[in-house]
Amino acid sequence: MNEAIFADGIDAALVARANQGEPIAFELLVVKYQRRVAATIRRLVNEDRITEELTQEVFLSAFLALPQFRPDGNFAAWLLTIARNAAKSHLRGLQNRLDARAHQMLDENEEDLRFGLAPSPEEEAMAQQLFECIDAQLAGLPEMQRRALLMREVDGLDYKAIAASLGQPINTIKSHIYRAREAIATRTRALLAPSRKRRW
Amino acid sequence: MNEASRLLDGDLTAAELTTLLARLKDDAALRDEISTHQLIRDSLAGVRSLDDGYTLRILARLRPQLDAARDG
Repeated sequence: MNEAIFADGIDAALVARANQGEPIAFELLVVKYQRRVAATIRRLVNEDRITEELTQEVFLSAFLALPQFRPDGNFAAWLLTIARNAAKSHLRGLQNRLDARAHQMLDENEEDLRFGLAPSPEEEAMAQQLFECIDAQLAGLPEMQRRALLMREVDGLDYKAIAASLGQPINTIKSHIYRAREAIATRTRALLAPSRKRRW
Repeated sequence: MNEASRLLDGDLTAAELTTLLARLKDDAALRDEISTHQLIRDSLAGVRSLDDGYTLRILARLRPQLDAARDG
């Protein structure tokens, strides 16, 4: 098969590969969705430490349930439903158990002080600098690149829909999106370099 | 276009996905490229947080299951 998998199909393809014994495919899904899962949980539980604990549990539950995921399903919706259910379960009765576990972990190991705690002032400053850099790079892009990128990332449109909207060939849209991402990533990489060993 | 960008848009053939997954196991630069692009995507979509070990801690929690799946 030589056709691109494209858009939502990539998640189903990664699920299938994970089910076939390629765990790196599930690692990619973790990289892709960990922020959205954490944000979904944080909105409900409003506590960083528990958010991280539940985020880990959500991905564990999802991995164990992968064989039940329907190939024609929407992986993001499926995963975020697991996340919402985990947060609701927590709110219904797991508060005491998770608090006890979190406190125990804090007592056991200094390293666990990194577990889901609020960022340090240095980390907050770095995050602010990073996201301001991304905003500045976005604002400085040529108009067509910026519009194509925002249609892809914010509106979630595929290449075909963006091409139709902007009146450009699909390959031109791909090029605009790629160039826009690279322009932003080039500046972002330097800011991320100090934290490289703490990332995937 | 680079592979990270194409992967995240699903703009790969099945054969290209197979090749990329094989490379990812040992290619730290490619993993970094993908995680950087994903951070930018999330940021543009309004989901803004640094990684700072978050992904690695999730994967550490999953490691026994991931290893068991790999070993069949």
